Amino acid sequence: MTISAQFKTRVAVVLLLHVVLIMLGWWLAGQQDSAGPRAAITSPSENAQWGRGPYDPSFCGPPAKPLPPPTMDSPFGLHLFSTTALGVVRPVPGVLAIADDLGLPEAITEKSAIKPKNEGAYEDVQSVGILLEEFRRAFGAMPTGELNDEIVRRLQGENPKGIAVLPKTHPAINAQGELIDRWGTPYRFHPESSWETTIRSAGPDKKMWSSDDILSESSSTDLVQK
Amino acid sequence: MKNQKHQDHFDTRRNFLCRSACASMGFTGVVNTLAHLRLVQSAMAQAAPADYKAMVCLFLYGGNDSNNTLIPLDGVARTNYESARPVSSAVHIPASGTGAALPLTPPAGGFGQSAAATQFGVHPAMPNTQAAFNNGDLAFVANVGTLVQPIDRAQYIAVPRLVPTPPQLFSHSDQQLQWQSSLPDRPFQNGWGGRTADLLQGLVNPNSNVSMNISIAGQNSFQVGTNTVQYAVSTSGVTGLAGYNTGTNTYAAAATYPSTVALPTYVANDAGRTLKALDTITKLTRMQLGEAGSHYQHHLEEGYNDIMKRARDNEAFVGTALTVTATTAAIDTAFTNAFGAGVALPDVANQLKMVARLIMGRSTLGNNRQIFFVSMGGFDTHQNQPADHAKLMGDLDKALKGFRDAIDAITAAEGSGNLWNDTLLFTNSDFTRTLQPNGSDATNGTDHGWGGHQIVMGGPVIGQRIYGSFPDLARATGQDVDSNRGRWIPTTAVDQFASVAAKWFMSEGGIYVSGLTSADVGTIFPNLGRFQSVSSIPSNLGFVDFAV
Repeated sequence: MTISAQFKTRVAVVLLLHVVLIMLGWWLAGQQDSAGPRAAITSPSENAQWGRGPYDPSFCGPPAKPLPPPTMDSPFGLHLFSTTALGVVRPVPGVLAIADDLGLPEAITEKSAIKPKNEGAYEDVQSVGILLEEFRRAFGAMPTGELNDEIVRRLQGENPKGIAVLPKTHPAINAQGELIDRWGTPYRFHPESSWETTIRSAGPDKKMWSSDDILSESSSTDLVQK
Repeated sequence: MKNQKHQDHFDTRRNFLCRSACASMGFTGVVNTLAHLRLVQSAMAQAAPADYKAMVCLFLYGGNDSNNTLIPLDGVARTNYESARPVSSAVHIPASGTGAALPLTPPAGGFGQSAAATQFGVHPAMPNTQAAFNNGDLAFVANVGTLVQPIDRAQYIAVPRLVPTPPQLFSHSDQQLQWQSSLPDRPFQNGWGGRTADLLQGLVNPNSNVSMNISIAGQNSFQVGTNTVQYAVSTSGVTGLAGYNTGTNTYAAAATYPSTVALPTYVANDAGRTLKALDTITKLTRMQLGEAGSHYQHHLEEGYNDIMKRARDNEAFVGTALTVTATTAAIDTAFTNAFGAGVALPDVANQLKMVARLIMGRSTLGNNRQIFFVSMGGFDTHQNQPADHAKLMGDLDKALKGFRDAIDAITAAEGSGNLWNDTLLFTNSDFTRTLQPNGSDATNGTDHGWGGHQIVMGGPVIGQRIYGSFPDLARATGQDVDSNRGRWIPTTAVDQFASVAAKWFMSEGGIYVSGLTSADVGTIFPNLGRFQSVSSIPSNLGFVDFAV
């Protein structure tokens, strides 16, 4: 009887140990990897959201659930990201520096203390290209659409994942919600494929399809039949 | 009681084992096995069809402005057309007077699109298309496009949007891929032409010598199958493998590969010597095994040899088919007459000429069913649209006329049957273009849209009709998406449009070829059931006469 009781106790201890080990393993497996480049520039809660990966693996699925608003301000004193009709957007970390690089209309830069960082319009166009690349990396594809205001809305967070790489307001966005070049003409976006969109600035003559147009660099245009 | 308890446990364990066994087989495994059994059963089916059918996919790369291909001449659609493309706009096509759209003659009872318009015309550069339409050889299917599910404007602009739309709308390569696969909601694996060939090859082509899928426009997604390998032919004929000699050896001799390793088979250059050395080595390893058949010591060697042999076989048979020269001159004449003497034929005309020649040599190819792919580029008319689009429409119009006359020339030379009744050609394009142009002068053009109108042509087509549902062309309402540029939400899915052609291709004398059922249509178009009954054709899409 005594032996049986000791045996039962040992069995119970071994079982308890197993349960503890399993729980420990379970707990360890559920830990978020908090290290990484994002940790420095995003809040812990946002980092946890990034760690969970995309909300919706399908680009054509329903929009993501609203997320807590990030607290970031634009260099122009405006709230960088705001709630869109699709919910609260989440900015791509580090995007501030890119938005800062966008070409600004000359009418604004002449009056403002803020001067464009780019020397020429060619760099402006490439900056827009980098912005689109950032979006592609975060979203998994280029923004859907072709019209300028449509692309801008996608870049501002109106997409199934709520990813934003462009402030809601910016001096380079006109009243019609279009991204404009330094001469005030809206850029033209040409979606080649899910991984490439070419950008065209009308240039100083403000007329599209003329010889002074400035185009973004393209790597795969020749591969797309059209 | 104890026994009862034991019994309970025994039952549970047995059930557990049963469940485990089932689970180990796996549900997908069972389905897969059943599917294979079905394929085996299909392969053992009674008889291949006695008739011949050729399906030609003509892809208009870049997004054809079908708003100016099929033009409403009256009604609310015309009012809306002129609102977006006013007389002052360079892309405007008038309803009458100089440069007017060529009017189409409605059939008895009208076009059936009275909600939008009762009169339609085609681009002024398309007189042959007008004639073919009025003769009953050609029809249009209105507002076809990529769709995941049926969707209307309210659903499209709803926030959140609960009805999914195809990813990367308005983007060239994505929309091309989705048109060719007909599966916009999943990663690309194969095209619907490839899936059709996968399903039909064993059933309909028992004496096949070459692939069912031949492209004259290079590699494409439409003809990619799981088992089917597309064979690409240039407009001037077969392209031989570099290093093999086709000059001193006939194509038929090439088909005896790999038993022939005679020197004259190879070109006397580095490529030829390298190939000869490789072939000799693989042959020696085979001899080492003491096997004379096509069995190699290494899987890679065997795989390499299979590919080379297939390429040589295709080259041999297609090359032989093209040597059927009896009516080559008549085919040439058909295209020359369509374009006018001394005019250099555009690429699309040469491609369709090659299709006609391959149809002529069909007995050598050995296929009762053949799918061809041809294409035409340059439709991305953001700029200079008036001149560029008119040239494209004119070329397309004449190429279609040449093709129709070439098929008739073959029929006349053969002296029996009517090959035109065995031929179905349809167009595809990335998308149509915005109704509102991006500027008013002739240097401007139009931008990317969504649903557009397609041409179907051939003997089986019930022509002189406009199928589908023609949009009223109203902007920022009706079928327009969330802008005011005029980009139509499709009312007919690519799956619906393509399935009608596929059903014709899968049938003989109005019934499915032995071994096929309507369920197989669902295999080729897995999303079709979201839009309509898989086993039937909606009344506004019945553009094929199955009795022809």
